Amino acid sequence: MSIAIKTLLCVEPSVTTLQTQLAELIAAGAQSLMVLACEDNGLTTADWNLWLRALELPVFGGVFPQIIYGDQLLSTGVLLVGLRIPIEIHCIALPANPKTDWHQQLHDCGFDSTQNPTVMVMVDGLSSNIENLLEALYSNLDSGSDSRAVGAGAGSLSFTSTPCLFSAAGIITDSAMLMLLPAVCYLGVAHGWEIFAGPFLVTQAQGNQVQSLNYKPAFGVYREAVEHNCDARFDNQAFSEISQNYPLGIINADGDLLVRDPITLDGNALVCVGEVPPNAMVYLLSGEPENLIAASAKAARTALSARPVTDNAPTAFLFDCISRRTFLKDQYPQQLAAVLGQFDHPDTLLVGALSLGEIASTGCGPIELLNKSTVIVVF
Amino acid sequence: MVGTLALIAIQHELGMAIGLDIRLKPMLRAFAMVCLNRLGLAGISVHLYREQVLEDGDSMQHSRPLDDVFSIPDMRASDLEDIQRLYTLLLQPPLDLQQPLQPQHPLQPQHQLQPLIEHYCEQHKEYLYLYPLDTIGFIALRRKYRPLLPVYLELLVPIFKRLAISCQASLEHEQLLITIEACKAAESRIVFQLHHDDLTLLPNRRALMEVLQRELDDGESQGLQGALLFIDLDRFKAINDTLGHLVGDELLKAVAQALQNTIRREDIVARLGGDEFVVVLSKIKAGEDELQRVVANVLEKIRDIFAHSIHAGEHLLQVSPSIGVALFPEHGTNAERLLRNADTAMYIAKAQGQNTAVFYEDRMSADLDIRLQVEKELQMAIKTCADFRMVYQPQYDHNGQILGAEALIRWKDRNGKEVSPAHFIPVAEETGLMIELGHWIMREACAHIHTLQKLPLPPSFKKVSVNVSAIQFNQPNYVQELLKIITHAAITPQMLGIELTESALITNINTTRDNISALQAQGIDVSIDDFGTGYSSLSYLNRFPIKTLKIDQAFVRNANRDAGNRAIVETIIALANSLGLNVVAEGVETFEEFDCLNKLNCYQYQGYYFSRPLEFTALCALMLNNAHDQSDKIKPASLNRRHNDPHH
Repeated sequence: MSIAIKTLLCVEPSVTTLQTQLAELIAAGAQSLMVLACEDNGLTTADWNLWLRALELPVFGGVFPQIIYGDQLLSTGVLLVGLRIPIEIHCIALPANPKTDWHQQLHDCGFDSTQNPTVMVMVDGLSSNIENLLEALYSNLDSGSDSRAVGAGAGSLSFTSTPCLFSAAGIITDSAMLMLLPAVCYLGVAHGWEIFAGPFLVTQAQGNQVQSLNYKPAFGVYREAVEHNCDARFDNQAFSEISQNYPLGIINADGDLLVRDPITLDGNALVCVGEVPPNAMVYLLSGEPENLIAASAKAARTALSARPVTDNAPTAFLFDCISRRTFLKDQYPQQLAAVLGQFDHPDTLLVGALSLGEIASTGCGPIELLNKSTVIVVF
Repeated sequence: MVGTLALIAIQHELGMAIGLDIRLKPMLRAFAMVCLNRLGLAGISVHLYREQVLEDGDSMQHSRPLDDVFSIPDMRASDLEDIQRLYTLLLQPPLDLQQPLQPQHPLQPQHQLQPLIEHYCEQHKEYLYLYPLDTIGFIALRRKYRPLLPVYLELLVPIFKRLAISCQASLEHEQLLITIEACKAAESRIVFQLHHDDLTLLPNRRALMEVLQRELDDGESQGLQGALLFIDLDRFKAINDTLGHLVGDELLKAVAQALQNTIRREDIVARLGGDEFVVVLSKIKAGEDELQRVVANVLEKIRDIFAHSIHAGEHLLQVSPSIGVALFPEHGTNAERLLRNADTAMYIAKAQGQNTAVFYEDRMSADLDIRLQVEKELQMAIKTCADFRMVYQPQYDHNGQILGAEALIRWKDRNGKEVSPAHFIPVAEETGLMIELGHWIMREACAHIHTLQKLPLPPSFKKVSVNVSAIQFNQPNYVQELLKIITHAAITPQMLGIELTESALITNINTTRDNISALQAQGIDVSIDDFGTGYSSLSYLNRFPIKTLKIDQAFVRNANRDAGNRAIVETIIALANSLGLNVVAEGVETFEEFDCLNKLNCYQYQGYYFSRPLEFTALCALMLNNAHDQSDKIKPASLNRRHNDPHH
C-alpha cells in the first residue's frame, strides 16, 4: 500500500483553494500532510500562516524554486500530498551560533527514532549549522535499526533568506523540520560529476569557506585549474556562471565523491554550499549532461532495487539540486524522464522539488549534506 | 579504484583530525566525524580503560573493566558490551598490538576466534574492525554493506597509534582538571568550614565577628543602626543529657533553620557554639522607633518559633529561648563589646525566668561583674573550705517520726554574707570547681554521720542523704573515691544516701548503672532528686537500682489546690508504687499540702512545714530529743513551731 493516499496539485493557490483541497484529502483519509510549494505560489506569509495554523493534521514541507509532479517541472503552484500514516514532527531552530549543543536540542525536543526507521529532514537551505545538526541527528538515530535520513534544503533561488518551511506554527525560516515516519524507505543518491583536475590539499578552510588550497589562495588555484581546462575566463564572466560547471569533490575511501558547489567568492576564498573540512583533499569536477542524466536514473534504480518486490505502487520523492536544472537547461526534462523510466508500475507517484542542498544517509551510515546531487527516496 | 594520492589524502586528513581539542570527547568527536565521512563508516566507538592495562610478562591484564565509552552514533549498551566482550576475547596472548583485529583479513594468530567475529558480523549485519589504542583501550569501526579495502586497514594502524597518544594526553589533561577542581573544592570547603559551623552550616563566631564589625563600621559611617540578639536555649543541656547528643544536634539544626526563616534578607544568623545563636539585624535607618519596630518584629517571630514544639529527629520538643538584645551603635561599636553586652543581657534574661528577652542596660555589666566576683571568691573559698558548712533538713513520715536528713551546703562570703546555693552551685559546676567542692561536701557529711553514729539516734532515723552533681558522679573511680571517704570517716555505709538528679542518671547510662549497683552493694541507697523535671522521667526508672523518688517541690507546691500538680504527684506516687520505690515529697510548706499528700498515699516528707534546714549541732540536739521521746510521736505542726518555721 502506498504511503500517499492522495495527491492534489493546487494550480492557483489561495487560502480558500488550499482549504478546499485539504478537505478533500482529509475526506480521503489523510493522516498527515506534506506540502511542496513553488517559490512563485501567490500566497503571502500571512496567508500561509492563516492556513497552516488552522490545520488539524501534522504538516511539513517547504517552498522550493520549482517542484516536480510526475513528469512535470512546475514553476508555480502548490502540491499537497496526503499521507495515510501519522507522522511525528520536530522543529528545531538553526541559529548561527556554532556553540549550540545540537544533541541537547534533539534531546530537549524529545526526538526518538526508535519506532521510526525514516527521518525526513527539511531545512532552510540558507541556514547556518545544517551539517552540525545532521551530525547530531546521526548520533541520535537508533543504532540498532536501519534508520535512514533523507531530505532537502528549501528556500528561494534568489538566495535571500525568506520563510520557507511549513510548520503548524506557520511558515518559518532558519530552522529544520524533522519528520519521523513509521515506514521503511529505500534510497538512491547520485550526481554524475567526474574528476578533471586535482587533487588539491585544503590547507585552510573554515566552515563552508575554502581559504587556501596547496598553501595558496583558493581562488587563484581554482581559477588556474579551471581556465587551464576550458575556455571560460573569470575576467569575462560572473564567478557563479563558470563555477556552477566546476564544483569541488571530496573523495572517500570507496572512491565516492562528495560534491561541494562553490557559489561565490569572499575575497580569495571559495564559498561553498556545505562544509569543506581543512586537510581534506579536493578535486575539481566537471560534468556532461548525459552523465548527470544517467546518474539520476541510476539513483532511481538503486532505490527501486533495494525495495522488496511488491504489487503496491511506489511513492517516490525526488530532491534534485537546482544547479542541475541550471546546468542541464532544456535537457532537464530528459533527466526527469530517465528517472520516471525506472518505475514500471503504472500508478507510481513521483513528487519532488528542486532544492538548495540535498540530504541523505550515505550508503554506509552518516547523513550528508549534498550539492548538485539527485536524491530519490522510495516507499 | 582509489589512487595512492587519495589514500595519502585520507591518511593526512585523518591524522590532522587528531588532537583538535584537548578535551577528550570533543577531540574524539572531531576525529570520529572525519573517520565516518572519509571511511564511509556506519559507526565508531572508542572504549577506554580508566586505568592502564598492566603488563605482566607475556600476558596482559586489565586493571579495571572498560568503563569509558564514546560512540557515534550513540549505541545500545548491549551492542557496546558485545564489542567489548569480543575485544576481551581477542586480547589473549600472544597479541601483536601493532596490528588491527578485523574479520575479513585476520592478521592475528587467534584463528580459533575467527568464528566469533564472523558470528558478530552476521548477527549485526555489519563489518567490525578493532584496533588497540596502545594500552588504554581500543577503537571499533563498524561498516555496513561492504568491507573496508585492506589497504585502509594498514593505513589506519599509525593513525590509531597517534590517536592513542592524543587520548592519553586528553585523559591526563582531564585528570589534571579533576585534580584542580578537587583542590578548588577542597579549598572552598576549608574556607567555608573556617567561617561556618559544621552542624548547622550557619556562620560561626569567626565569620560573625568579621561581618558584625563590618556592619558596625558601615553603620557608623552611613548613620545606620542595628541590633544583636544573643539567643540561648533554655534547658538544652537537659535535652542533650537525657535524650542524647544526636537529638540535641537535630534540635539545634531545626532551630537554626527556623531562625533563618524569620530574618530579613540583610540579616545574619550565626551559631557561636553549644546552644548559643546570634541574630544580627543591620542596616536599619536611624530613628529609635524603626529599630524598636524591627527588633520587636523579629522577637515576635522568634517567640512564634518556640511557641510550638520543634521537631528534632523523631522527637517533638518544647524548648524556649532566653534572649539578650544589644543595640548598636548605642550599646557598642566594637563587635566583641557588643556581643559581650548582648551575652550579659541574655544571662539576665535567663535569671529572670525562661523564655524571656531582655534589652541590655549598662548596669547589667555590673551584675555580671558580681557573678564573676562570685566565681573568683568561690575559687578562693574552695582552697580552704573554711567558709562552707553543712546544714541538714530532716525528713519525716506521716506519723511525725524522723526518718533521715538531707545534707545541704551553705556558704558565707568573705563579707560574712550568706550566698544562696542557687547562685554559687551553677558557678561551681560551670567552672569545674564542683568536683573539689563535692569532695569536701562528702567528707564533711561523712564526718557528721560519724558523729551522729555515736549518738543515741531515734530508731526511725536511717540515713543522711548527700546531693551529688552529675559532673561528680560521672567522674572515673567515683565509687572507689567515695568508699575511701567512708572508710576514712569510719561510718556505716548504710547511714549514707546519695541524691542524684535525672540528668546525672542519663549522661552515661552504663557507667551510672554500674556505679549505683556498686553503691547499692555497699548498702548506700540512691534517690532521684527533683523527680519530674527531667526529660525521660519514666523511661529509665526500671533500668537503675534506685530506692527513692523525691518529688520536686514545684509539683508539691499547692498540690491541695492545683489540680494539675496534684495529678502529677498522684502519677509519680502510682509509678513509684508499681516499681516498689519510696516517695519523698520535697518542699512541703503547709498543713494543707501535707494533708493532701497524705491522702494521696505519700508518707515521707521534707520541707518547712516539718523543719527548716538545721545546723549540725541543732540536728544532734534533735536526735537526742527524739531518741528520748521516741514513743511520743511528734506531730508535724508541733515540730513546725519547735523549729522556728517563719510561716508561723
